Amino acid sequence: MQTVNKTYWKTSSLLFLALLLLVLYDLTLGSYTVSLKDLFNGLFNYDATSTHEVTVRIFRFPRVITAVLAGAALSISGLLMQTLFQNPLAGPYVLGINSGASLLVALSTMSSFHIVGSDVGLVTSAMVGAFGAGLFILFSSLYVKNKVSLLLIGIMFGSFTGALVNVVQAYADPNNLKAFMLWSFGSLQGVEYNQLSTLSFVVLLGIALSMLLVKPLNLLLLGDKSASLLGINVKKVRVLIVLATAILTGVITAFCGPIAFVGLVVPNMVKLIYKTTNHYHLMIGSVLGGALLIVICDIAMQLLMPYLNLPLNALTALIGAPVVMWIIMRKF
Amino acid sequence: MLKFEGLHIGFKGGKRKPSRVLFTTEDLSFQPGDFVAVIGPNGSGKTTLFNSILSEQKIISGEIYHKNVNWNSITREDKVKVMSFVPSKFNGVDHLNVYDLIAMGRAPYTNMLNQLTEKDHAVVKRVILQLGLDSFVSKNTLLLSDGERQVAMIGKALAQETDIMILDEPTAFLDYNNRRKVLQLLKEIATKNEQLVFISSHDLELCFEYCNRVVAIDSKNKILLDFTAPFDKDEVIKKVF
Repeated sequence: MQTVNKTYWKTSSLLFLALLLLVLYDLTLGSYTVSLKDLFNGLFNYDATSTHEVTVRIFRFPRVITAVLAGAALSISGLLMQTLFQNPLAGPYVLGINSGASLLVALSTMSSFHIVGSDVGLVTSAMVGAFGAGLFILFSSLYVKNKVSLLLIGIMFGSFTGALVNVVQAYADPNNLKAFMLWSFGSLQGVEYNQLSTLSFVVLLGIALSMLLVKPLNLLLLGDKSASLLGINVKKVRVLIVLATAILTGVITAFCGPIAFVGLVVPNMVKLIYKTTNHYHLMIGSVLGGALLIVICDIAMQLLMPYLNLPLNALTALIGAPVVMWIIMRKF
Repeated sequence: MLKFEGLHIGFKGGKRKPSRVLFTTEDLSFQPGDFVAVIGPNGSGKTTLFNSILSEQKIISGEIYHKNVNWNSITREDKVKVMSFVPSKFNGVDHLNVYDLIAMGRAPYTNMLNQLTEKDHAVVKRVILQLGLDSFVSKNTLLLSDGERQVAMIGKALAQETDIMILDEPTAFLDYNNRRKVLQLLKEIATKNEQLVFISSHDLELCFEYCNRVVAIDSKNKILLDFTAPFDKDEVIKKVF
């Protein structure tokens, strides 16, 4: 089995290398191309008088890092949901966890209802919304044993919160409304340089919490009773899984908007490539694979920019929807 | 090793709902090496008895002792090092191979990342040898036959290295040959490994043949009856069914 572990690490290293190269390439892209020399100076040897270096540091670096963090966070959320509900089609978007976050974001940006009126407030409200939606789905799953029915409940929950968002929109101030609409398309540009540390901190926190759940996640594959009889406190673990998902989905939804399909597609791809059920490797794979997917999406958007302004959500759906159909044909 | 003292098995009630007792037991004790079959009609409480021993549900009254320690005073983390469980049906998981499935039995002993030590690998390899699963180690559990998968699940329980092993209807989904094979295997495990093995089953004839002890739930008189080999089959069946 030692040799098998080595293949997992080899795959992970290859993914990491690919990610690193694409990240560097993505950093050079934008309204104009920046040379590699300016790129390194901008990151490591910053000179505020050079326009190129300012562009790299203030505009591109946050965009690319956000892409990496968003992909990693959403993919881990998807993996957590798929294992928790033992359903390959589960993901934060399908189960309505994004929608919960969106509703509270809509409330705090477009109405006079605020938790705290800052970044922290926005992130907190998104997480609270995601956690509430997660608990709702968890509660439903105790009564609905059918996998497809649970997905339908998630989709219905999404429609329901979507309708509530519409009500909020109807009463919103036009400027706030426009900002909200742009946010809902999904964007990596919204994160500013000084917000990066908040975003990274929360995402790393969520990933660390997920890593602590590796053992229960592995055992949950045998079913709740078998997991419980191998020493897992199933009730506690379920809530912790939902909490980790809420942290990761919430923070990304707050900063980048509701991004569809990534959480669903990436873990399925990672399972196909790694061929293991060990969540230690699946998580590393999901972090790298998710980051890779969104960075590739960003590269595509930057390259298409002169001809076509494609929102992130449209692009992930273009890639994601066919993959979902393929999974349904294979497994259901 | 395992002692029941005046157990009342059933569903514990709440403030408004009275408890529903399925059956009671006299003082019974089980020794290492015992291969015990729990028999009784459908709905008589075989699974409830197992769930009570496994602490998945509450005992209405009475006490269980393991090596003279009250079962209630043992934490869940320690209990799973003493008892293991095999469900009647496991459907397999894609990409989960037999080696990793058996290794899951080491979970009570591993760290938070579920990393196996040299000792854990040694235990898993020993179990694989004992069960003759060498040629299956890297096979996907989804693609095994029902019989092979059941043996692999028994392997998981063996790797847990417990005094007590509880199997819920281990033969329910197997054909005749595999039933005999699994029961013979469990008998060997009980005697060679000095483990206490409980099974529930509806295959009375096979239980009488392989087990050295049969406990039968008499749902009319709501009591658990204890029989030891050699069995008087007609007497057992008359009393219980």
